[in-house]
Amino acid sequence: MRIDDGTLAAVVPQVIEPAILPTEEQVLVRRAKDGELTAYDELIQRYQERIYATVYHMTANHEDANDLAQETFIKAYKALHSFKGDSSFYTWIYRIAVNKTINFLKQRRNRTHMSLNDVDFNVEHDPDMLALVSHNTPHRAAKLSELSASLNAALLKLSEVHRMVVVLHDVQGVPHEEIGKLMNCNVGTVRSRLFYARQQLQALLSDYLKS
Amino acid sequence: MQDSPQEFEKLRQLLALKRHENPPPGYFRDFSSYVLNQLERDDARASESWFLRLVALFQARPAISWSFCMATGLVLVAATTVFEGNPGGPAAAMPSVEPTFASMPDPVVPASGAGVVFETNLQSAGFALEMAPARTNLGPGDSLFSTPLFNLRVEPASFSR
Repeated sequence: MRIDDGTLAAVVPQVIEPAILPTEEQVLVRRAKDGELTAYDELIQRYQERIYATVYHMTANHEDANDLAQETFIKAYKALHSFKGDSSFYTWIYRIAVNKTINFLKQRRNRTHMSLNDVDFNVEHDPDMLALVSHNTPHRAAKLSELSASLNAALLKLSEVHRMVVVLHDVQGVPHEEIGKLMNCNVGTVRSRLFYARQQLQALLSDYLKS
Repeated sequence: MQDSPQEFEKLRQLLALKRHENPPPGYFRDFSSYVLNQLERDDARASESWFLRLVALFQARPAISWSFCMATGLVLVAATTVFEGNPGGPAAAMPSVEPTFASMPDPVVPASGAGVVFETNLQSAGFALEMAPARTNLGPGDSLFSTPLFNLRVEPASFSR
C-alpha cells in the first residue's frame, strides 16, 4: 500500500477507516496464526507506515522509531495466539505500539536525541505551510528545517501521554474515541489531555504562531 | 474544556508540518523483510541446543559470563576450604565406618591358642569360622605392621636375555 504522493500525510484518512474489510483481515490473521509468514508479511505492509509514523512522531528519532516499529511487529507475531479478535487487528497492534513507545520513552526520559527525517518537497504545496512560511523567504528550506526542529523539541517537552494524544489526533487524525481505545482511557480524558497539550505547545511555540 | 478549532488553528497548521517528515526513500520497501528475517532468526535460535544458546548469551553479555565465572570460582574455593578444614582430608569428611565394625562381635580366643574363632550368626545354624594358625607366624597379640614378618629378597628386574 504505497502512498501516491509519498508522504505520511496521505496515511491519515486510512487510520480512521482501514482499507481492507475485516473479514479479509481476519483471514490474514488466521493464516498468520498458522505460521504462514507471507500472510503476516501482508499485514505488516498494510500497517507499517501508520505504526512507524506514530512511533516516529513520539520519539522524534528515526533509529528509535525503526527499532520500536520492528519490535512491535515481532512482539505482535509472537503474541498472535492471544489475539482473540475482540477488536480489529489494526487496533490491537496499534495498542502494542502505543504501549511499547510510552514504556520506551519513560525509560529514556532524561536522554533525548533527535534524529529527524527530512521534510519532503510536497510541503511546498501544503496550504497550511504556505500560511506559516512565506513564499518570499529566501531561505525557505532552512526555515522549514528550523521550524521542524523547534516543533519536535516542543513536542518532546510534553509528557508521554499528552504527546501521544496530540500526535494521534492532530498529526495522524485519529478520532477521540479511537484514541480512548488505544490508550485505555475514556473520551473525556482524551479531550482534556489534548486541550492541556495544545496549551503547552502554544506557549512553547509562541514565536512561530504570532500572526 | 473544549478544544475549539479556532483557538488552536495556527497550532494545527504548524503540527501539519510533521506529516511531511518522511523516512529515507525505500525504507518501507525493506521494512517487512527485516521483520520477517528477525522472526526466522528467532525461530532458528529457539531450536538451538541449550549449550549453544548459553555460549551465545555469554558472547552477547560479557557481564553474565563474568558473573558465571565468579560463581564457579567461589564454589571451587568454598569446596576447597571445606575439605582443607578437615585434617583427615576428604576421607575424614566421609561418615565413619567404625560403627559398622563396632557392631560386629569380638573375636574369641580359644584357651588352646589354636587360632582365632569368629563368632557369627552362622553359629546358631551350627557353623563356625575358624582361622588356621599355621599359615603365618602371627600370634594373637601381634600386628601386621609392628614387626617385619617377611624377609623378601628384592632383585632388580632385568629385561635382557
